[in-house]
Amino acid sequence: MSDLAGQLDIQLRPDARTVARITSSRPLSAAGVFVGKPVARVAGQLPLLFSVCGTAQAVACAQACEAALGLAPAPSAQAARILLLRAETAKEHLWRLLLDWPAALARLDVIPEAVQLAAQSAEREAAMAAAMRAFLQLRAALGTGGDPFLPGADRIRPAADAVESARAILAETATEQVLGVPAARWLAAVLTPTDLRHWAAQTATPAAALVRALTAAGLADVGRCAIDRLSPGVEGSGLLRQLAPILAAADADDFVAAPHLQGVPRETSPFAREVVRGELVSALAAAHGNGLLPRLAALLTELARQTVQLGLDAEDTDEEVADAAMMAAAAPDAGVGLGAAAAARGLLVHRVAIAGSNRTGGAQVRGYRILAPTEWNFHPAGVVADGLADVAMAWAERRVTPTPAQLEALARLYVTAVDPCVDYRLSIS
Amino acid sequence: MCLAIPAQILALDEGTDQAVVSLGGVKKPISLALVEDAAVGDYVLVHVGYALNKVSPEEAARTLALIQAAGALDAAAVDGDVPTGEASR
Repeated sequence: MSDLAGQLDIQLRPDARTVARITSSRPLSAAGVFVGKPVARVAGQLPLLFSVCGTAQAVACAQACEAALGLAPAPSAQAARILLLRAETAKEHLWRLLLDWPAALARLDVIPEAVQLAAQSAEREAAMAAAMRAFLQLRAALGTGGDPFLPGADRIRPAADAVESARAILAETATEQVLGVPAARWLAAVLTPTDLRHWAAQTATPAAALVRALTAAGLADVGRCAIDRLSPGVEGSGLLRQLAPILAAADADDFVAAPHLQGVPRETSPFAREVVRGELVSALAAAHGNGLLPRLAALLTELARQTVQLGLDAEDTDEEVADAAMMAAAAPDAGVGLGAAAAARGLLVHRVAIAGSNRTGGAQVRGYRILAPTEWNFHPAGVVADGLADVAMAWAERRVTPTPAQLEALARLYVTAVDPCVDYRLSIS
Repeated sequence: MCLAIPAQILALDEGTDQAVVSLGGVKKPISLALVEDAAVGDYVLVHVGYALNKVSPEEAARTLALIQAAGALDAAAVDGDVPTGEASR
């Protein structure tokens, strides 16, 4: 048994016409395990199976089942879903910024500050451990008065104190380890590439060191490529209606393994969301395309945005636009539902087909399919394949004598920046 | 999808926060830096080299059974070790 979670195999051949070959052993039809089970049991089991982005999975599942059954959750359950989804994105982005990016930059071994940063990992791991505990505490607290992720969930009564303290820890981690100032102040102050440079120069957090190191090493543009995005404009029901017949077709398994729209692969990621949402990332993209610096800035901005939203009371979430960007649903046919959630790594779509009564207790799943962000981004002709071709070119053009080890380190940094969420093997020939 | 696999801790080094787990029958080194109070015999969810959180033997059994059933759908050769405890499905 190699690995139950599957892995990506990335072959890099700088001299070949196709520079990057990507294949995957990810278990894409795993969701078929839910066929024949009652809806309520599926909603309970699915986050167990896909626990890394378990909240996004649970939200997409609930949305899809509710669309298929014509159910609606109580407002308090819906608010809890959005709150935990925001917390999950914050937690995942913290992981990238505190653990993955520092290690990947240090492996390049050309930036002394990055090497130094990676050597001091204990404090960042402790901060990440606190954030993980806070997230789990929040999830437990939101589930104490009933399961908010059950399709058609009733009103829930979460333990307010536990919710508050968990939110405070997540916000504190974002401030102390990443942004240096409270998230709202960061969002108001860092609007242009110049602001970002000033912030990085004046801030003592590990994330600020990452921005300085990336800029100093001339890596801001690395991985830049022209690829269409799944824009937030189509992340709502428009895209779901477009996907509905495709995900119902006989060859849907092939589609979810290598998704595209009208034959064109798309990117879905924090960068794809922020480039149309925020001034900073769109300004950086004008100068650096979808290279490494705009990707890093997208993580920072989304972390700040979600942290601010986490601080709002559930009743205050009158920002309907923000909520609509977090989740969507469509019911293309009777007994069929599609649900979407903005997962930390990109858009997650579930399709469920249900037989039986409209009460969750009597309804049974007869088809389940998941379309995950990794398959869009790691499509054989997708953003990572194209981005790695640029990585190989950037490596070949470096003035310092390029070594194969540097190419590998640069490729790994780029893959980390898009974030496959699973293990991957990288080989260079 | 982003599977996190339950694994049993076989050995640990408290000084370095490193542990060896049994992941589907294969011994693998992981970091325990993100979890508290993990002990030999505990089950943890493992994702790309880190233990994410502790799970009960019952939840580990349920999750592994589910992953194995899902893996069989993908025709993957799965010979993982299901922990003792009722695998209620």
